[in-house]
This record gives sequence, structure tokens and C-alpha cells, in this order.
Amino acid sequence: MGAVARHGTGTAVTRSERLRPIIADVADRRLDAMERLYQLSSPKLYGLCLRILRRPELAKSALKTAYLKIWKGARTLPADLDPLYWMVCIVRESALETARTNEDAGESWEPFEVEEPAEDPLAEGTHSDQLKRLLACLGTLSEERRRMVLLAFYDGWSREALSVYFDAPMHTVNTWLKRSVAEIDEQLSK
Amino acid sequence: MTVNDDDRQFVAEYVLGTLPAALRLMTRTRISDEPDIADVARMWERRLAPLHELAVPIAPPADLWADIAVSLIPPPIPLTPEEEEEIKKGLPALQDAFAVPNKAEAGDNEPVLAEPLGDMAPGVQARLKKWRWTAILLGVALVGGGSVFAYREWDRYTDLHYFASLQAERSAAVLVRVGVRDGDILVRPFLDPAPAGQTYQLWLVPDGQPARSLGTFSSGFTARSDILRRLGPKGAAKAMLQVTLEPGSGSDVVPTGEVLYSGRLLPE
Repeated sequence: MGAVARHGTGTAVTRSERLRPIIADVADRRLDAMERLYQLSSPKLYGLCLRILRRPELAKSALKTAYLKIWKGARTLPADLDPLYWMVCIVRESALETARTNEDAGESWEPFEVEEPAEDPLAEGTHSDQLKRLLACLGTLSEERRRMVLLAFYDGWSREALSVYFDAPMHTVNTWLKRSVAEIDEQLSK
Repeated sequence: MTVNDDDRQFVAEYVLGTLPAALRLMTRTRISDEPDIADVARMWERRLAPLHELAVPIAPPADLWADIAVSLIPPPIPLTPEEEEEIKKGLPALQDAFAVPNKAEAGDNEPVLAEPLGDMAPGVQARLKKWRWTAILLGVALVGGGSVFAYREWDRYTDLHYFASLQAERSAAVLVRVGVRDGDILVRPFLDPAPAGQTYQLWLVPDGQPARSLGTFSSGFTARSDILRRLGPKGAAKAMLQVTLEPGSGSDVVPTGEVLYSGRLLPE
């Protein structure tokens, strides 16, 4: 999966190889494994939650819900999927549900700034090939549509929020999104 | 793969996160119920998830792990006074029967989670799902004010797809998506089964005109309707959808039962 870590023996271990046995132990209801998984992944996953929700108490609640789903669904981790991708999807879904169903979770129009980023135990020196391919694909979109996709992913903005931010009618935003999805689909299907 | 372009778009936007609450809810039910739709969702999750590599890691609140861990450990099973008395008497069988588990087991007294519900009895699943949907839909109702925004572009809207959340009070119970170009109807009810000998019936009530049946249902269904095709965008802007409970196989002409749920069509 692209992300590689080197341990003391010099053996290259991918992030997926590192996480998969831990999640297998989580599936066996081992709390120590769950704590290890939390230690490794929570800085990245909390960062995703907080950027979407902006309010720490909401981000905390959404992340807790996500980890409970991970605990409950550890047996369902697809064999061919990077475990971190799987967790990222669960966490984003939890944060988006909180954002869409909580009347206090309005969009923040301010740029997301972090004074003290945490250390990411799963960080790798280089970006994965999947990310590079996706970024190359996004690079072919117009600047507005590229920003729209990235704001939707990172900030969790809905069609309505994008319409306000870009000062564009809703049907224009829908058309932009539709074209963006179609073009990404076409390029990544090759 | 039998997923049409329209649905592929919805699923991609579901994963991306741009769908409004009600559409998000409907898409989630389809991902849960339809394997082809779920495959498209998984594909988009794989495509977009690598973006996380550019997200900034932030230290979570110090007490979060403890909070999570407490939720993962099942609480002791409470005993009745009679059972405590039996155990005090030293009956080994009862001691075994009421032993507190040493470690958490899958599904044991865990917090209420969205998925999966597979280990529970079907009746319990149905009740849990109903309440889960009720909670989510209440949330949808709370953000319903945002849909007013959609009216701003009503006259200029060209995609010709509409969405309605039919509800009583603030608890939505039937989600309906219609396309006035092709007359497509997609219905997702969150209701108890109709009483024996009765059926739910969906009605279109154009402005100033009598109600017209769009079909009866007991579960989710899709259909095509000439009535909707003839309605057009202007008619849809003023029309209502209603659900009634009708005797037998439904009413042929006009609704005879009380209106259980109603709602307006909003452009997507």
C-alpha cells in the first residue's frame, strides 16, 4: 500500500502489514490491541474529525463513535483494503453524520489552522502512489472544481456550504460536482 | 455493474460528503441494502481515502481513550436479590450461570452502535433500526431549515429531480425521490408493517387538484409514473406528497384513510 516503515531489523514493513494483525487482535476483543490501535491512529483520525467539525467536543464524540464502530466491525475489514483507509472512511462518515444531523455543527469559513500538530505514528516519509495518482487526477480539474473537491473531503462541506462559499447557485455547484466526479471516475478507471 | 450514472453520482458524493442530510440518509440505506451500490461506495472510498495523508495530525483529548475503553468493557450483569441469595448458598451451577465475563465479548452489553445488528433477533433488530432511524431523522428535521435555501434557486433549477421527507410532527417516516423528467419514483419507508388487511398508499396532490395515487407499498419500492412526468417542474414546486393507510389493496380513486405523513418536494 505504498506506506513503508523500517524496524530495527531493517525489514521493510508496510503500514498495512503493521496494522492488520493489530486489527485482527481487536476482532478477538483484545482491549490491549485496541489501545495500541488507538495510540497509532488517533492523531490522524482526530485531525480529520476536528477539521470537519471544528468544535473539539463534537470531534471527540464523533471519534469515539468511530472507534466503537471499529471495535465492533474489526472482523469486517476487507482483506484487500489498507486498514488505515478503512478507518479513515469510518471516521469521516461518523464526522459527516455529526455535521449533518447536529444543528450546532455549522460550517466554519475560517481556514483550518493548527498551532501544534501532533506526531503521527503512522506517518511515512513519502506519499503513497495512490495519493500521487489521485492528486494528478485532481490537478486536471479546473481550480474551482479542485478546491471544491478538497473542501468537501477535508472540511466536510455540503453542496449548500459550497454554494455559499463560491457564491454560485446550487445548480451550478451540482453541475461542478457532477463533472468533477465524472472526470475523476474516468481517469481513475483507466 | 447495474448502477446507473445518476446513482453513481450520488454514491460518489455520499463518500465525498457533499450530500444534504436527507439525501445522505437515503443513499446510506441503499448502500446498506443494495450490493451493487455498496461496491460503488467501496470503490470511491478507496479512491478518496489517500487524501488523509495530507491531513494534519492533532493530539486527541487526553481523556478520550479512557472514555472509549469504558464503553468497550461490558458492565457486570445485575443479579436479582433471589439470585444473590442462591449464590451465597453456594450453588455452583448458579455461580457459573451468573459469572461476570473476564473480557469483553462481541456484542456483549456494548454501546448501541449503528452496525452490525446481525447477532440480534429480527424483532429486536427491527425495533433498534426503527429507533435508530427515528433519531437520525429527527436530526434531519432539525437541519430542515437549511432546505429553505434550496428554494432560492427553484425557478432556475434544471436537473428535474426532487426529494421529499414525509413526516408527522418532526419524525420523518418516508423518504421519496422523484424525477419529473422520466417519472421515476424511489420510496424508502421507515414504518411498522401496515395492520392486517390494510396497506400504505402514496399520493401526489398537485396544487388545487385532487390526489392521485402513486402506488401502494409495504417496503421500499421503485416505479415510474406518467402522472409525475406530466407534472413538470412547475407542478412539482407546488405539489404535496401524502401517505395514507387504506383498506385491502388500496384505494382506486381517492384517499379514504387519514393522512399519516405528508411533505413537499424539494429540488435536490
